[in-house]
Amino acid sequence: MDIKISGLTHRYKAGTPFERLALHDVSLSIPSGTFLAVIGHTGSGKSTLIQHLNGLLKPSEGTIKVGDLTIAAGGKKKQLKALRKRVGIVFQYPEHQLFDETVEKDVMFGPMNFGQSEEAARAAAHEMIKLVGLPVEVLQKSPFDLSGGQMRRVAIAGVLAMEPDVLILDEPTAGLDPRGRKEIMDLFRTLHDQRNMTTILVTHSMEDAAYYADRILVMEKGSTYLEGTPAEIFAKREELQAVGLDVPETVQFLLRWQGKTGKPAEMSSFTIEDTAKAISADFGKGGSTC
Amino acid sequence: MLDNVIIGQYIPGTSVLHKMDPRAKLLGIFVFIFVVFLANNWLTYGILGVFAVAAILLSQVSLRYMYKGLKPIFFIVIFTFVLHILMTKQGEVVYDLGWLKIYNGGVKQGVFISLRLVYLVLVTSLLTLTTTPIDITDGLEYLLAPFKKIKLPVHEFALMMSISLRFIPTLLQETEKIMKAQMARGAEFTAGPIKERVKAFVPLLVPLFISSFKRAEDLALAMEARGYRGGEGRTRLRVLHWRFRDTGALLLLVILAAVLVVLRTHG
Repeated sequence: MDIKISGLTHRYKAGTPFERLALHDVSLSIPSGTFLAVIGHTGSGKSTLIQHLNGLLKPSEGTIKVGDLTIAAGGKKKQLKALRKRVGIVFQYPEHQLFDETVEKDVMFGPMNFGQSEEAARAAAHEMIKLVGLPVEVLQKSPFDLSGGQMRRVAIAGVLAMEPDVLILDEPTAGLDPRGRKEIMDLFRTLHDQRNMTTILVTHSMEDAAYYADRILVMEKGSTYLEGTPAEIFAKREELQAVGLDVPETVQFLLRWQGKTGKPAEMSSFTIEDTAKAISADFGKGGSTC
Repeated sequence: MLDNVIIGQYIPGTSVLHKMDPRAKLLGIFVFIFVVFLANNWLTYGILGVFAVAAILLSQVSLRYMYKGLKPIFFIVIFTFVLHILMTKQGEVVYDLGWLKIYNGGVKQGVFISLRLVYLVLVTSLLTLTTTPIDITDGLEYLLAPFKKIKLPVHEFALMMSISLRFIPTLLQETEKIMKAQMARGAEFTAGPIKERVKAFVPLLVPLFISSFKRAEDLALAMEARGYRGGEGRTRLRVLHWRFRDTGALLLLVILAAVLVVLRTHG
Protein backbone atom coordinates (compact mmCIF):
# COMPACT_ATOMS: atom_id res chain seq x y z
CA MET A 1 0.00 0.00 0.00
CA ASP A 2 1.57 3.26 -1.13
CA ILE A 3 2.08 5.89 1.52
CA LYS A 4 2.50 9.52 0.62
CA ILE A 5 3.19 12.21 3.18
CA SER A 6 3.22 15.82 2.10
CA GLY A 7 4.05 18.92 4.09
CA LEU A 8 3.37 17.20 7.41
CA THR A 9 3.83 19.47 10.43
CA HIS A 10 2.91 18.57 13.99
CA ARG A 11 2.82 20.75 17.09
CA TYR A 12 2.47 19.11 20.49
CA LYS A 13 0.26 20.83 23.07
CA ALA A 14 -0.52 23.75 20.81
CA GLY A 15 -1.56 26.82 22.77
CA THR A 16 0.12 25.88 26.06
CA PRO A 17 3.47 26.92 27.55
CA PHE A 18 4.69 23.45 26.57
CA GLU A 19 4.08 23.90 22.85
CA ARG A 20 6.71 22.13 20.81
CA LEU A 21 7.22 21.69 17.10
CA ALA A 22 7.74 17.95 16.70
CA LEU A 23 7.59 17.64 12.93
CA HIS A 24 8.33 20.31 10.41
CA ASP A 25 7.26 20.10 6.78
CA VAL A 26 7.99 16.41 6.26
CA SER A 27 7.35 15.08 2.77
CA LEU A 28 7.98 11.46 2.01
CA SER A 29 6.80 8.77 -0.32
CA ILE A 30 6.90 5.10 0.62
CA PRO A 31 6.02 2.82 -2.29
CA SER A 32 4.09 -0.36 -1.54
CA GLY A 33 6.30 -3.25 -0.48
CA THR A 34 9.14 -1.14 0.85
CA PHE A 35 10.97 -2.12 4.04
CA LEU A 36 11.84 1.31 5.39
CA ALA A 37 13.99 1.93 8.44
CA VAL A 38 13.64 5.25 10.22
CA ILE A 39 16.67 6.23 12.26
CA GLY A 40 17.49 9.37 14.18
CA HIS A 41 18.46 10.73 17.52
CA THR A 42 16.04 10.57 20.47
CA GLY A 43 13.51 13.36 19.99
CA SER A 44 14.10 13.66 16.27
CA GLY A 45 10.41 13.04 15.53
CA LYS A 46 10.48 9.37 14.56
CA SER A 47 7.70 8.29 16.90
CA THR A 48 5.59 11.32 16.09
CA LEU A 49 5.89 10.55 12.41
CA ILE A 50 4.76 6.95 12.65
CA GLN A 51 1.82 7.78 14.92
CA HIS A 52 0.44 9.92 12.12
CA LEU A 53 0.39 6.95 9.78
CA ASN A 54 -2.48 5.34 11.63
CA GLY A 55 -4.29 8.41 12.84
CA LEU A 56 -3.23 8.35 16.48
CA LEU A 57 -1.96 11.87 15.97
CA LYS A 58 -3.52 14.31 13.59
CA PRO A 59 -1.41 16.60 11.46
CA SER A 60 -1.30 20.27 12.41
CA GLU A 61 -0.64 20.92 8.74
CA GLY A 62 -0.21 18.75 5.67
CA THR A 63 -1.70 15.46 4.51
CA ILE A 64 -1.01 11.75 4.75
CA LYS A 65 -2.21 9.36 2.11
CA VAL A 66 -2.31 5.65 2.84
CA GLY A 67 -3.61 3.83 -0.20
CA ASP A 68 -6.82 5.67 -1.09
CA LEU A 69 -7.38 7.09 2.41
CA THR A 70 -6.32 10.65 3.09
CA ILE A 71 -5.79 12.14 6.53
CA ALA A 72 -5.59 15.91 6.56
CA ALA A 73 -5.45 18.56 9.25
CA GLY A 74 -8.92 18.87 10.77
CA GLY A 75 -10.13 15.78 8.92
CA LYS A 76 -13.04 13.52 9.78
CA LYS A 77 -12.89 10.84 12.43
CA LYS A 78 -14.75 8.16 10.51
CA GLN A 79 -11.87 7.15 8.31
CA LEU A 80 -9.65 6.41 11.25
CA LYS A 81 -10.96 2.93 11.90
CA ALA A 82 -10.45 1.90 8.29
CA LEU A 83 -6.97 3.35 8.45
CA ARG A 84 -6.14 1.49 11.65
CA LYS A 85 -7.28 -1.76 10.11
CA ARG A 86 -4.72 -1.31 7.38
CA VAL A 87 -1.87 0.02 9.45
CA GLY A 88 -0.74 -2.03 12.45
CA ILE A 89 1.66 -0.58 15.00
CA VAL A 90 3.88 -2.55 17.30
CA PHE A 91 4.77 0.02 19.93
CA GLN A 92 7.86 0.12 22.10
CA TYR A 93 7.53 -2.46 24.85
CA PRO A 94 4.27 -3.79 23.36
CA GLU A 95 3.91 -6.29 26.23
CA HIS A 96 2.59 -3.36 28.31
CA GLN A 97 -0.63 -3.46 26.33
CA LEU A 98 -1.59 -7.03 27.25
CA PHE A 99 -4.68 -7.15 29.42
CA ASP A 100 -6.95 -10.13 28.85
CA GLU A 101 -7.36 -13.33 30.86
CA THR A 102 -5.84 -15.59 28.25
CA VAL A 103 -3.32 -15.12 25.49
CA GLU A 104 -5.89 -16.28 22.98
CA LYS A 105 -8.42 -13.62 23.97
CA ASP A 106 -5.76 -10.96 23.94
CA VAL A 107 -4.61 -11.80 20.45
CA MET A 108 -8.26 -11.92 19.31
CA PHE A 109 -8.90 -8.41 20.68
CA GLY A 110 -7.62 -6.62 17.57
CA PRO A 111 -9.33 -8.70 14.87
CA MET A 112 -12.65 -8.64 16.73
CA ASN A 113 -12.53 -4.88 17.11
CA PHE A 114 -12.28 -4.71 13.36
CA GLY A 115 -15.39 -6.80 12.91
CA GLN A 116 -13.98 -10.31 12.43
CA SER A 117 -16.12 -13.20 13.59
CA GLU A 118 -15.06 -15.07 16.70
CA GLU A 119 -14.05 -18.18 14.72
CA ALA A 120 -11.97 -16.19 12.27
CA ALA A 121 -10.29 -14.30 15.09
CA ARG A 122 -9.55 -17.53 16.94
CA ALA A 123 -8.07 -19.06 13.80
CA ALA A 124 -5.92 -15.96 13.35
CA ALA A 125 -4.77 -16.18 16.96
CA HIS A 126 -3.68 -19.79 16.51
CA GLU A 127 -1.87 -19.01 13.28
CA MET A 128 -0.06 -15.95 14.64
CA ILE A 129 1.02 -17.57 17.89
CA LYS A 130 2.74 -20.29 15.87
CA LEU A 131 4.18 -17.70 13.55
CA VAL A 132 5.86 -15.76 16.35
CA GLY A 133 7.43 -18.99 17.55
CA LEU A 134 5.34 -19.87 20.59
CA PRO A 135 3.73 -23.27 21.30
CA VAL A 136 -0.07 -23.36 20.95
CA GLU A 137 -0.37 -24.32 24.62
CA VAL A 138 0.32 -20.74 25.71
CA LEU A 139 -2.99 -19.67 24.15
CA GLN A 140 -4.90 -20.81 27.23
CA LYS A 141 -2.44 -19.28 29.70
CA SER A 142 -2.67 -15.86 31.25
CA PRO A 143 -0.32 -13.48 29.44
CA PHE A 144 1.00 -12.37 32.83
CA ASP A 145 2.35 -15.84 33.57
CA LEU A 146 4.72 -15.68 30.61
CA SER A 147 8.30 -14.48 30.49
CA GLY A 148 9.10 -11.01 29.19
CA GLY A 149 10.25 -12.29 25.82
CA GLN A 150 7.16 -14.46 25.43
CA MET A 151 4.90 -11.55 26.35
CA ARG A 152 6.58 -9.50 23.66
CA ARG A 153 5.82 -12.20 21.12
CA VAL A 154 2.19 -12.43 22.22
CA ALA A 155 1.80 -8.67 21.85
CA ILE A 156 3.33 -8.82 18.39
CA ALA A 157 0.97 -11.65 17.47
CA GLY A 158 -1.89 -9.43 18.64
CA VAL A 159 -0.96 -6.82 16.06
CA LEU A 160 -0.22 -9.33 13.29
CA ALA A 161 -3.61 -10.98 13.82
CA MET A 162 -5.22 -7.84 12.45
CA GLU A 163 -3.53 -8.68 9.14
CA PRO A 164 -2.43 -5.15 8.40
CA ASP A 165 -1.12 -4.16 4.98
CA VAL A 166 1.33 -1.77 6.56
CA LEU A 167 3.26 -2.83 9.64
CA ILE A 168 4.96 -0.22 11.77
CA LEU A 169 7.54 -1.35 14.29
CA ASP A 170 8.72 1.07 16.97
CA GLU A 171 11.93 -0.41 18.33
CA PRO A 172 10.40 -3.88 18.52
CA THR A 173 13.52 -5.50 19.93
CA ALA A 174 14.34 -3.02 22.71
CA GLY A 175 15.29 -4.92 25.86
CA LEU A 176 15.53 -8.36 24.24
CA ASP A 177 18.59 -10.58 24.32
CA PRO A 178 20.67 -10.87 21.11
CA ARG A 179 19.08 -14.16 20.10
CA GLY A 180 15.57 -12.87 20.69
CA ARG A 181 16.40 -9.75 18.69
CA LYS A 182 17.56 -11.73 15.72
CA GLU A 183 14.59 -14.10 15.81
CA ILE A 184 12.08 -11.27 15.99
CA MET A 185 13.76 -9.21 13.28
CA ASP A 186 14.08 -12.26 11.00
CA LEU A 187 10.40 -12.91 11.57
CA PHE A 188 9.49 -9.40 10.46
CA ARG A 189 11.64 -9.64 7.36
CA THR A 190 10.16 -13.02 6.41
CA LEU A 191 6.63 -11.73 6.97
CA HIS A 192 7.43 -8.69 4.89
CA ASP A 193 8.60 -10.80 1.99
CA GLN A 194 5.88 -13.45 2.20
CA ARG A 195 2.87 -11.24 2.74
CA ASN A 196 3.84 -8.43 0.46
CA MET A 197 3.59 -5.93 3.28
CA THR A 198 4.96 -2.45 3.63
CA THR A 199 7.10 -2.33 6.75
CA ILE A 200 8.37 0.69 8.62
CA LEU A 201 10.95 0.03 11.31
CA VAL A 202 11.96 2.67 13.83
CA THR A 203 15.27 1.69 15.34
CA HIS A 204 18.37 2.89 17.09
CA SER A 205 20.39 0.02 15.72
CA MET A 206 22.32 0.98 12.61
CA GLU A 207 23.07 -2.72 12.15
CA ASP A 208 19.39 -3.65 11.97
CA ALA A 209 18.64 -0.76 9.65
CA ALA A 210 21.49 -1.74 7.34
CA TYR A 211 20.74 -5.42 7.35
CA TYR A 212 16.95 -5.58 7.20
CA ALA A 213 15.79 -2.46 5.39
CA ASP A 214 15.56 -1.65 1.68
CA ARG A 215 15.54 2.06 2.30
CA ILE A 216 16.55 4.25 5.21
CA LEU A 217 15.14 7.57 6.36
CA VAL A 218 17.23 9.68 8.73
CA MET A 219 15.28 12.16 10.83
CA GLU A 220 16.79 15.16 12.60
CA LYS A 221 14.97 17.82 14.63
CA GLY A 222 11.58 16.97 13.14
CA SER A 223 12.67 17.06 9.51
CA THR A 224 13.91 14.50 7.04
CA TYR A 225 17.70 14.66 6.94
CA LEU A 226 18.75 11.90 4.57
CA GLU A 227 16.91 9.27 2.59
CA GLY A 228 18.22 6.46 0.45
CA THR A 229 19.31 2.84 0.27
CA PRO A 230 21.48 1.53 3.13
CA ALA A 231 24.53 1.65 0.89
CA GLU A 232 23.87 5.30 0.02
CA ILE A 233 23.15 6.35 3.59
CA PHE A 234 26.09 4.61 5.19
CA ALA A 235 28.48 6.01 2.65
CA LYS A 236 27.90 9.39 4.33
CA ARG A 237 29.63 8.87 7.63
CA GLU A 238 30.34 12.56 8.34
CA GLU A 239 26.72 13.57 7.80
CA LEU A 240 25.56 10.80 10.14
CA GLN A 241 28.06 11.68 12.82
CA ALA A 242 26.95 15.31 12.65
CA VAL A 243 23.54 14.26 13.99
CA GLY A 244 24.82 11.81 16.60
CA LEU A 245 24.56 8.65 14.49
CA ASP A 246 27.18 6.47 12.92
CA VAL A 247 27.66 3.73 10.35
CA PRO A 248 27.13 0.06 11.32
CA GLU A 249 29.95 -1.80 13.03
CA THR A 250 30.72 -3.79 9.89
CA VAL A 251 31.28 -0.61 7.90
CA GLN A 252 33.32 0.90 10.74
CA PHE A 253 35.52 -2.18 10.63
CA LEU A 254 35.90 -2.00 6.87
CA LEU A 255 36.77 1.68 7.01
CA ARG A 256 39.55 0.99 9.50
CA TRP A 257 40.69 -1.96 7.41
CA GLN A 258 40.83 0.32 4.45
CA GLY A 259 42.81 2.87 6.46
CA LYS A 260 45.39 0.27 7.43
CA THR A 261 45.78 -1.50 4.09
CA GLY A 262 45.16 1.45 1.83
CA LYS A 263 42.92 -0.67 -0.36
CA PRO A 264 39.45 0.64 -1.22
CA ALA A 265 36.76 -1.74 -0.04
CA GLU A 266 33.10 -2.14 -0.92
CA MET A 267 31.14 -0.32 1.84
CA SER A 268 27.84 -2.11 1.43
CA SER A 269 28.66 -5.23 3.46
CA PHE A 270 26.26 -5.21 6.36
CA THR A 271 26.61 -8.76 7.65
CA ILE A 272 29.55 -10.35 9.38
CA GLU A 273 29.75 -12.87 6.52
CA ASP A 274 29.88 -10.21 3.80
CA THR A 275 32.47 -8.27 5.73
CA ALA A 276 34.60 -11.37 6.13
CA LYS A 277 34.28 -12.03 2.40
CA ALA A 278 35.28 -8.48 1.57
CA ILE A 279 38.37 -8.83 3.67
CA SER A 280 39.28 -12.28 2.47
CA ALA A 281 38.91 -10.96 -1.06
CA ASP A 282 41.81 -8.65 -0.23
CA PHE A 283 43.75 -11.65 0.99
CA GLY A 284 42.38 -13.73 -1.83
CA LYS A 285 44.70 -12.09 -4.28
CA GLY A 286 47.49 -13.76 -2.34
CA GLY A 287 45.53 -17.00 -2.28
CA SER A 288 44.98 -17.27 1.47
CA THR A 289 41.68 -17.68 3.35
CA CYS A 290 40.77 -16.72 6.86
CA MET B 1 -7.53 14.66 25.28
CA LEU B 2 -5.48 14.35 28.45
CA ASP B 3 -3.59 17.49 27.55
CA ASN B 4 -6.21 19.55 29.35
CA VAL B 5 -5.51 18.33 32.84
CA ILE B 6 -3.40 20.97 34.55
CA ILE B 7 -3.83 19.92 38.16
CA GLY B 8 -0.47 18.69 39.40
CA GLN B 9 1.40 20.27 36.48
CA TYR B 10 4.28 22.53 37.31
CA ILE B 11 5.26 25.35 34.98
CA PRO B 12 8.81 26.54 35.59
CA GLY B 13 9.08 30.28 36.04
CA THR B 14 10.63 33.11 38.01
CA SER B 15 7.55 35.06 39.09
CA VAL B 16 6.94 36.31 42.61
CA LEU B 17 4.63 33.40 43.21
CA HIS B 18 7.28 30.94 42.07
CA LYS B 19 9.78 32.43 44.48
CA MET B 20 7.49 32.47 47.48
CA ASP B 21 8.11 30.05 50.31
CA PRO B 22 5.93 26.96 49.79
CA ARG B 23 4.85 27.16 53.43
CA ALA B 24 3.48 30.65 52.82
CA LYS B 25 1.69 29.43 49.72
CA LEU B 26 0.19 26.45 51.53
CA LEU B 27 -0.96 28.59 54.45
CA GLY B 28 -2.26 31.15 51.98
CA ILE B 29 -4.36 28.57 50.14
CA PHE B 30 -5.65 27.25 53.44
CA VAL B 31 -6.74 30.74 54.52
CA PHE B 32 -8.13 31.50 51.07
CA ILE B 33 -10.42 28.48 51.18
CA PHE B 34 -12.11 29.99 54.23
CA VAL B 35 -12.03 33.51 52.86
CA VAL B 36 -13.94 32.40 49.77
CA PHE B 37 -16.83 31.41 52.01
CA LEU B 38 -17.01 34.91 53.48
CA ALA B 39 -18.23 36.43 50.23
CA ASN B 40 -21.99 36.63 49.89
CA ASN B 41 -22.83 39.56 47.65
CA TRP B 42 -21.83 40.94 44.26
CA LEU B 43 -19.26 43.33 45.70
CA THR B 44 -17.43 40.74 47.79
CA TYR B 45 -17.43 38.18 44.97
CA GLY B 46 -16.10 40.91 42.71
CA ILE B 47 -13.25 41.65 45.10
CA LEU B 48 -12.38 37.96 45.28
CA GLY B 49 -12.42 37.81 41.49
CA VAL B 50 -10.01 40.73 41.25
CA PHE B 51 -7.80 39.01 43.79
CA ALA B 52 -7.82 35.69 41.89
CA VAL B 53 -7.05 37.34 38.54
CA ALA B 54 -4.30 39.41 40.13
CA ALA B 55 -2.76 36.22 41.53
CA ILE B 56 -2.83 34.59 38.09
CA LEU B 57 -1.24 37.65 36.51
CA LEU B 58 1.45 37.64 39.19
CA SER B 59 2.20 34.00 38.49
CA GLN B 60 2.86 34.77 34.81
CA VAL B 61 0.92 31.69 33.80
CA SER B 62 -1.01 32.54 30.63
CA LEU B 63 -4.72 33.16 31.11
CA ARG B 64 -5.45 30.97 28.13
CA TYR B 65 -3.70 28.08 29.78
CA MET B 66 -5.64 28.58 33.01
CA TYR B 67 -8.85 28.67 31.03
CA LYS B 68 -7.98 25.38 29.35
CA GLY B 69 -7.33 23.89 32.76
CA LEU B 70 -10.77 24.99 33.93
CA LYS B 71 -12.52 23.20 31.10
CA PRO B 72 -12.76 19.80 32.81
CA ILE B 73 -14.63 21.32 35.78
CA PHE B 74 -17.07 23.30 33.64
CA PHE B 75 -19.45 20.39 33.79
CA ILE B 76 -19.52 20.49 37.58
CA VAL B 77 -19.91 24.26 37.56
CA ILE B 78 -22.83 24.14 35.15
CA PHE B 79 -24.41 21.31 37.09
CA THR B 80 -24.27 23.30 40.33
CA PHE B 81 -25.59 26.37 38.60
CA VAL B 82 -28.59 24.55 37.16
CA LEU B 83 -29.24 22.81 40.45
CA HIS B 84 -29.37 26.14 42.26
CA ILE B 85 -31.64 27.70 39.68
CA LEU B 86 -34.08 24.82 40.00
CA MET B 87 -33.99 24.38 43.75
CA THR B 88 -33.76 27.89 45.20
CA LYS B 89 -37.09 29.64 45.58
CA GLN B 90 -36.23 33.11 46.83
CA GLY B 91 -36.88 36.60 45.56
CA GLU B 92 -38.97 37.51 42.54
CA VAL B 93 -39.89 35.26 39.68
CA VAL B 94 -37.82 36.32 36.68
CA TYR B 95 -38.97 33.62 34.29
CA ASP B 96 -42.14 31.59 34.30
CA LEU B 97 -42.57 28.45 32.26
CA GLY B 98 -45.70 27.41 34.06
CA TRP B 99 -44.36 24.18 35.53
CA LEU B 100 -41.05 25.82 36.32
CA LYS B 101 -40.48 29.16 37.96
CA ILE B 102 -37.02 30.68 38.04
CA TYR B 103 -36.42 33.10 40.88
CA ASN B 104 -33.80 35.81 40.86
CA GLY B 105 -32.57 34.48 44.22
CA GLY B 106 -31.85 31.19 42.50
CA VAL B 107 -29.93 32.80 39.66
CA LYS B 108 -27.93 34.84 42.14
CA GLN B 109 -27.19 31.80 44.31
CA GLY B 110 -26.21 29.78 41.23
CA VAL B 111 -23.80 32.41 40.01
CA PHE B 112 -22.24 32.78 43.46
CA ILE B 113 -21.69 29.10 44.06
CA SER B 114 -20.27 28.61 40.55
CA LEU B 115 -17.91 31.54 41.09
CA ARG B 116 -16.87 30.06 44.41
CA LEU B 117 -15.95 26.79 42.71
CA VAL B 118 -14.05 28.53 39.94
CA TYR B 119 -12.09 30.67 42.40
CA LEU B 120 -11.16 27.68 44.50
CA VAL B 121 -9.96 25.67 41.51
CA LEU B 122 -8.08 28.62 40.03
CA VAL B 123 -6.21 29.50 43.18
CA THR B 124 -5.44 25.94 44.21
CA SER B 125 -4.15 25.06 40.75
CA LEU B 126 -1.92 28.11 40.99
CA LEU B 127 -0.25 26.40 43.91
CA THR B 128 0.80 23.35 41.89
CA LEU B 129 1.51 25.41 38.78
CA THR B 130 4.06 27.57 40.56
CA THR B 131 5.48 25.12 43.12
CA THR B 132 7.47 22.00 42.43
CA PRO B 133 6.05 18.85 44.05
CA ILE B 134 9.16 18.61 46.19
CA ASP B 135 8.63 22.11 47.54
CA ILE B 136 5.00 21.38 48.29
CA THR B 137 5.80 18.32 50.33
CA ASP B 138 8.72 19.99 52.08
CA GLY B 139 6.39 22.79 53.05
CA LEU B 140 3.70 20.37 54.21
CA GLU B 141 6.17 18.44 56.29
CA TYR B 142 7.26 21.61 58.07
CA LEU B 143 3.73 22.77 58.65
CA LEU B 144 2.59 19.41 59.98
CA ALA B 145 5.69 18.87 62.12
CA PRO B 146 3.83 19.70 65.37
CA PHE B 147 1.65 16.65 64.83
CA LYS B 148 4.67 14.39 65.17
CA LYS B 149 4.24 14.88 68.93
CA ILE B 150 1.02 12.90 68.81
CA LYS B 151 2.73 10.16 66.78
CA LEU B 152 1.29 11.12 63.44
CA PRO B 153 3.56 9.73 60.66
CA VAL B 154 4.10 13.16 59.14
CA HIS B 155 7.23 12.29 57.23
CA GLU B 156 5.70 9.19 55.71
CA PHE B 157 2.61 11.15 54.81
CA ALA B 158 4.69 13.83 53.10
CA LEU B 159 6.67 11.20 51.25
CA MET B 160 3.49 9.50 50.11
CA MET B 161 2.21 12.81 48.84
CA SER B 162 5.36 13.67 46.98
CA ILE B 163 5.41 10.26 45.35
CA SER B 164 1.80 10.56 44.24
CA LEU B 165 2.31 14.08 42.93
CA ARG B 166 5.47 13.01 41.18
CA PHE B 167 3.68 10.15 39.43
CA ILE B 168 0.61 12.03 38.19
CA PRO B 169 2.31 13.09 34.95
CA THR B 170 3.91 9.67 34.56
CA LEU B 171 0.58 7.98 34.98
CA LEU B 172 -1.04 10.31 32.48
CA GLN B 173 1.70 9.58 29.97
CA GLU B 174 1.34 5.89 30.55
CA THR B 175 -2.44 6.13 30.12
CA GLU B 176 -1.98 7.92 26.85
CA LYS B 177 0.55 5.37 25.66
CA ILE B 178 -1.65 2.38 26.43
CA MET B 179 -4.71 4.14 25.02
CA LYS B 180 -2.84 4.65 21.79
CA ALA B 181 -1.69 1.04 21.69
CA GLN B 182 -5.25 -0.21 22.19
CA MET B 183 -6.67 2.30 19.72
CA ALA B 184 -4.17 1.00 17.18
CA ARG B 185 -5.77 -2.39 17.82
CA GLY B 186 -9.18 -0.95 17.03
CA ALA B 187 -10.41 -0.10 20.53
CA GLU B 188 -12.65 2.94 20.85
CA PHE B 189 -12.84 4.99 23.99
CA THR B 190 -14.95 7.90 22.91
CA ALA B 191 -17.77 6.45 20.86
CA GLY B 192 -20.56 3.94 21.23
CA PRO B 193 -23.19 3.24 23.88
CA ILE B 194 -22.27 3.79 27.52
CA LYS B 195 -22.14 0.06 28.33
CA GLU B 196 -19.65 -0.56 25.54
CA ARG B 197 -17.58 2.39 26.60
CA VAL B 198 -17.28 1.17 30.18
CA LYS B 199 -16.16 -2.19 28.84
CA ALA B 200 -13.68 -0.46 26.58
CA PHE B 201 -11.81 0.75 29.63
CA VAL B 202 -10.84 -2.73 30.78
CA PRO B 203 -8.00 -2.99 28.22
CA LEU B 204 -6.77 0.35 29.53
CA LEU B 205 -7.13 -0.17 33.28
CA VAL B 206 -5.62 -3.65 33.56
CA PRO B 207 -2.26 -2.67 32.02
CA LEU B 208 -2.26 0.56 34.04
CA PHE B 209 -2.75 -1.29 37.32
CA ILE B 210 -0.08 -3.79 36.47
CA SER B 211 2.47 -1.16 35.55
CA SER B 212 1.64 0.89 38.64
CA PHE B 213 2.29 -2.05 40.93
CA LYS B 214 5.46 -2.82 39.05
CA ARG B 215 6.59 0.77 39.35
CA ALA B 216 5.83 0.86 43.08
CA GLU B 217 7.96 -2.24 43.58
CA ASP B 218 10.82 -0.79 41.55
CA LEU B 219 10.65 2.45 43.49
CA ALA B 220 10.69 0.69 46.84
CA LEU B 221 13.67 -1.33 45.74
CA ALA B 222 15.53 1.74 44.49
CA MET B 223 14.87 3.55 47.76
CA GLU B 224 16.09 0.65 49.84
CA ALA B 225 19.15 0.27 47.64
CA ARG B 226 20.02 3.86 48.49
CA GLY B 227 19.62 3.27 52.20
CA TYR B 228 16.34 5.04 52.80
CA ARG B 229 15.15 4.44 56.35
CA GLY B 230 12.45 6.98 57.05
CA GLY B 231 12.55 10.56 58.27
CA GLU B 232 14.42 10.03 61.56
CA GLY B 233 17.49 12.24 61.65
CA ARG B 234 17.30 12.99 57.95
CA THR B 235 18.87 16.29 56.90
CA ARG B 236 17.78 18.36 53.97
CA LEU B 237 19.57 19.28 50.79
CA ARG B 238 17.45 22.36 50.32
CA VAL B 239 16.35 24.49 53.24
CA LEU B 240 13.26 26.65 52.95
CA HIS B 241 13.64 30.41 53.49
CA TRP B 242 10.85 32.50 54.89
CA ARG B 243 11.20 36.03 53.57
CA PHE B 244 9.48 39.35 54.09
CA ARG B 245 7.32 38.90 51.00
CA ASP B 246 5.91 35.68 52.49
CA THR B 247 4.76 37.50 55.61
CA GLY B 248 3.47 40.26 53.34
CA ALA B 249 1.41 37.86 51.24
CA LEU B 250 -0.22 36.35 54.30
CA LEU B 251 -0.94 39.83 55.71
CA LEU B 252 -2.57 40.71 52.41
CA LEU B 253 -4.85 37.70 52.77
CA VAL B 254 -5.78 38.72 56.31
CA ILE B 255 -6.60 42.21 55.06
CA LEU B 256 -8.69 40.66 52.28
CA ALA B 257 -10.55 38.62 54.85
CA ALA B 258 -11.15 41.72 57.00
CA VAL B 259 -12.43 43.68 54.01
CA LEU B 260 -14.81 40.87 53.10
CA VAL B 261 -16.10 40.65 56.66
CA VAL B 262 -16.90 44.37 56.59
CA LEU B 263 -18.45 44.40 53.13
CA ARG B 264 -20.44 41.20 53.22
CA THR B 265 -24.17 41.35 53.68
CA HIS B 266 -25.03 40.79 57.29
CA GLY B 267 -28.22 39.39 58.65
